[in-house]
Amino acid sequence: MKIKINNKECSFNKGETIIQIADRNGIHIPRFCYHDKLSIAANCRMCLVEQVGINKPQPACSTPAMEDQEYFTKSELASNSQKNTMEFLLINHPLDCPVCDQGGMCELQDQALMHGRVKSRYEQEKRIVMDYKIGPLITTNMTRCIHCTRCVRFGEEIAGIKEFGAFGRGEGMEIRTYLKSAIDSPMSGNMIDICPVGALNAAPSHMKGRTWELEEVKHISSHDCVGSNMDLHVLDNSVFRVVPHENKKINEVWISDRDRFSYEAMEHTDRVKKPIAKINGRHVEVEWEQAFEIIYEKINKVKFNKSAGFVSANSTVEEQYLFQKWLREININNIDHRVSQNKFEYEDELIFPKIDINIEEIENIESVLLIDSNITYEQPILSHKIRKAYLKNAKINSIHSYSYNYNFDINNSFLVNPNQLAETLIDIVEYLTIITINDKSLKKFTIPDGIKKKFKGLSNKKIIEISNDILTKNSLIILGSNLKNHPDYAFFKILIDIISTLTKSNKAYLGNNSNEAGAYLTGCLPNKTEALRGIKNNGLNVYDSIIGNMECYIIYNLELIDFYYYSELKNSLEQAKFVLGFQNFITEEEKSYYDVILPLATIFESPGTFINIEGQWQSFVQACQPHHDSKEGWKILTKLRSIFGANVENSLDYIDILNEVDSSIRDYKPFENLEYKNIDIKNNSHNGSLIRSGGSSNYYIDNIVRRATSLNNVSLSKNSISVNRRTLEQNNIDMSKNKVLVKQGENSLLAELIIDENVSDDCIYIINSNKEHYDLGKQYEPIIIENV
Amino acid sequence: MMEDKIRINELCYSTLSSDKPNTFETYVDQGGYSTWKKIVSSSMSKKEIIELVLKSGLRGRGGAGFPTGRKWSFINQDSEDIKYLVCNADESEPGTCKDRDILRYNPHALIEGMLIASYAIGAEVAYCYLRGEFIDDVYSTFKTALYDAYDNKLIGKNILNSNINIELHDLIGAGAYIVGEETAMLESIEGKKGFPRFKPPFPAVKGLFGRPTIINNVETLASIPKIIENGPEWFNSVGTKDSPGFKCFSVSGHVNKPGNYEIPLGTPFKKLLDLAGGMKNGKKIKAVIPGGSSVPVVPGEIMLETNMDYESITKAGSLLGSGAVIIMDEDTNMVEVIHRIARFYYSESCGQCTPCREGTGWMYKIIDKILKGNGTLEDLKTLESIPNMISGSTICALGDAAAMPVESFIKNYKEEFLNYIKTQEEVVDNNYTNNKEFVMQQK
Repeated sequence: MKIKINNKECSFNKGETIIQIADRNGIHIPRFCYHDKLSIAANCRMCLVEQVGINKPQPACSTPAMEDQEYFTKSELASNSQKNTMEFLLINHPLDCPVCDQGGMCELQDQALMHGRVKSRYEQEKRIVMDYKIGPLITTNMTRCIHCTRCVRFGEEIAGIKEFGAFGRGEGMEIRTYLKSAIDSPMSGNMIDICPVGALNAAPSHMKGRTWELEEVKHISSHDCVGSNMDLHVLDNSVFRVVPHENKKINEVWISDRDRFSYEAMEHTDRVKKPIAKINGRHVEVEWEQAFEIIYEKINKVKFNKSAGFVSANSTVEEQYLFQKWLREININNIDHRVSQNKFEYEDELIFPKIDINIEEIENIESVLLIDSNITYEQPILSHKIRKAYLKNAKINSIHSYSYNYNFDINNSFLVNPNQLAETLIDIVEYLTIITINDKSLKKFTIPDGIKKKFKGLSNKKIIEISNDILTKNSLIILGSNLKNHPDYAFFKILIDIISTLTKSNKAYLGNNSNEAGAYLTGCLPNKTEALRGIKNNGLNVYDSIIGNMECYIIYNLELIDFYYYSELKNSLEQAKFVLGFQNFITEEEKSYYDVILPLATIFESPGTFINIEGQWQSFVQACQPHHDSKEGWKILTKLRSIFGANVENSLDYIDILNEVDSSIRDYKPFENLEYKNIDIKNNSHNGSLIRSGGSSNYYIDNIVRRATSLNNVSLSKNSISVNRRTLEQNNIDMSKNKVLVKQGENSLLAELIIDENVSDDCIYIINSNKEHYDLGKQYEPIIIENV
Repeated sequence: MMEDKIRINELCYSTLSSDKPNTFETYVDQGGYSTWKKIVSSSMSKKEIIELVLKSGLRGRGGAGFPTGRKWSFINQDSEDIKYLVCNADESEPGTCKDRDILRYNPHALIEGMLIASYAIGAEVAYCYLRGEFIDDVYSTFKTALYDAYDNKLIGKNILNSNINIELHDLIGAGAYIVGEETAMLESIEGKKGFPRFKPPFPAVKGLFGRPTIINNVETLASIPKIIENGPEWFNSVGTKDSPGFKCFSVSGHVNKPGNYEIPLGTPFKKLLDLAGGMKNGKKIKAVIPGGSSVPVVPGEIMLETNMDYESITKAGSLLGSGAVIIMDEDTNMVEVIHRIARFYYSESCGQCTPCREGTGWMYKIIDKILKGNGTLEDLKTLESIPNMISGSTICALGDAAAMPVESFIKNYKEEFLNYIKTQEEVVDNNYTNNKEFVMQQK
């Protein structure tokens, strides 16, 4: 079908609107309320165009194209209508562009230039709107609002949490929150981008710089396994603001608040500014050369088989590659990155976080099973994709140890104690084995005897419904990232693999880190090297290295609380002869464990590559020069390699490193099926006592977000624990008091008590959002609750 | 005096001749519900009913005057889809009070009309959405009538032991003018804020809860039973060719007997004025707003030569609208009148789309400035240009409704505006202190 716009012939599909066709053909039509990801509101009336034969102008955003019609976007009727709307929009707008953060990137400003009058005819008083504080991330100046309702529709349609609404009517209409409360959506920052005026602005960068002074650098997000594309706006060699960079296959035009505001950490006082060395028992700042000398001297004194290196799964592929290369060159084989993992069984079989389908395909999935995944807060972009599937009538089921808040509705939810998660999954396997008994394609598939032994008869009705949903529909099973701390994590992976084989569904193992796949592929493992090739001398994994009391520890971009075996690590570090750290940040307390700390440039100050959950490689360039005396990781590691005698060219450049990594691991096809037939199934869960669950707070997952001030001001209750009523009664807790004492081993914590029926039985739910929570003890370990 | 007697109150106000006009018994005594019973028992086909309504030439009485039969035929009556009928009883147009009296004095005619219309379009659920301000008396009268009809098995499941099911619900608004706009009403029924929807899709395709929906005015629906009972010829024997039948006019303003008069369309305005007792205090007529506050004003001398039907009034430069005839005498200050009208639209604009949200306030503020004696010629020029900027570019008709009066008042009475600007004094030496106080109170 064809229409003509401005005499240009354009083809279209039935149901398309004029603005869609014009956009595709590069014909400019001004607009405010229209946004291609949101529903049509047709309320700004800026996109009025002329349809030949109709004397009234038609809104291009809501008018479906009609076969063989002619439209004009710049005719007298059209441009007069646009000019009129522009004049109306400006009469109550304060026109305070000189003091508005949006100035220079404002849709209203741009379009006023194109379609507005030179001088305003409006002389009366302008509307003034009260501003409400809506949290630490977004500043409001609602007097500037032009009521396009994009933010309202964003909340309803994209974020799935209706937070903004239009109150009042006529000129008195106001956009604000319903309960004067803070915005809670983990994607709320996107409202800043879609606001066409300066009504909603980013709070951390408010009034600190002007758009035309900024330089835009493309970057990749570093706080989840998705790899959202974003643009860093750089001012004076510092990240000033972060906005999404459109990537249709990954994040579309959205990013999470965590990715948007984490840059604030760059300027945190914990930054390591110069190399620090412990000389005569005191930590002093030294020059790089001196630091290298100390490292060379000390490392040469320790036994290589009594040394271990741990690298962050948030570091870039290049850093991870060079890290393991350097250590292996000096015969240190105890290398690992799985610092948050609890148990290390079946190490050979289990490969990294992955997803069987592309991220963009999630929205076409018909059924999703979430396994203890707080996905809306942990992985906002993936949650958005699931929400899209949900809006297309997908059934979302969840088996969890806490009834999390999702931005979609759950069809069947099953609340279990973390200790019973494995049992529940075995129930599903059992039911599916019976149902699929006649499936010829599964003839060769046998279920390990260890699992068969645990079959125990008829399943719960909900379990049957959930199983049927996975079986009958095109499904995706998602294993939550917090379960990494769970002793049965490997077992869960096996069970999910069996379920997905039986039901021919897709699976995803999520990770909290931006480059976990990279850490596997580059061989930051005790038993695998580059491209996951096996090695002769297997090293020790992180757990064995920690309890094995090494003489030397090398810790790359990890804080001590990142380790599951945090307290054990502290003991070992105290006894070690030499501890070397490569760190963005260091606290006074952690500093005492190190002998040398090298100041590492943050991801914003370094080029690099991340491999996301799909296996997608995404490289980014350096956005600003390293702050203070810090250096890019690849430079430090290359220097160290050469100091320790490797044959490294002097002129080696970042690109050379990238090419080297690329040629050594790129072709590796990582996503192979698991082999677990001969696995002896162990169930590691602690039974018979209260268990601690919860995981890290959304804004406490890595060393960067922990220091992003505004983000950390979002979550309010800092020191609280949640327990359900039944558990409290069984433990004789006085529910009238609001404080309780929780104990793990010798440690105890006085915390605010929240009676919360979302928590499963026999469970103390603690969201780790400060250091005290880590000092208390480990996740999924026994815990005691007492009256104060 | 009148040459021949005008046929008055024969259709929607026919029960007024009785002592207890709104009771079920009165309505049945006058032959009420016989049409509905006939339809239910004789299984008159849906097509037949629509055909009859089409033949009668009945036009929508809410204001737009769209032929009712054609509106109904937009819906596929035989499809299995859920369909809805909505009765628009949100009568809020300033000057209009005809529907209120139908609801008050002849509610059963409306109920019967709604049942017939629901049956004709194949709807099993119908809503009657009443204006919020009706809550004190009209609402209870209508509700009583609704219960009576339910008690007599005329509504509900298996009506009169047939297999016809029609549920009729009553709803009351919260007092927003905009909800009288049909799609805003649908939003309101759905429990949302009364914002008009953009069209297409039209309600007949995607209306209430996303289903095909027909929305009719109270008077339209209340006319249906008698049209079918007496036949379309009875109805279109009065009125003109394009405007057949009877129409209720709410006459207000400077007349001796303001009130609702149901007369044949095409009746000369003079006769309507006579019915309303002529001008108060024997003053000269100055201006008439013939169809509710949102239509253009017509100078009195033109109006006196005009008949009350859709075409004649259009020819006179205005619209028949909802039939609210506001008559003003020679002492009326036209700037004050438009000031009051502009303020109404300023406060009733829903705020959804730009031209109306911003334009209504702008117009009011300029008129206010002129009325206070601070206006300039430049202001008047700006004011003249605004209506044109609003009309035709908004989602619903409220923008046009706000623009038309301003445009026509300036066009017809520009010298009064100019006098305010030039002499900064009132040009009309009037004794309208009462009226002024009224305006002040409203503020």
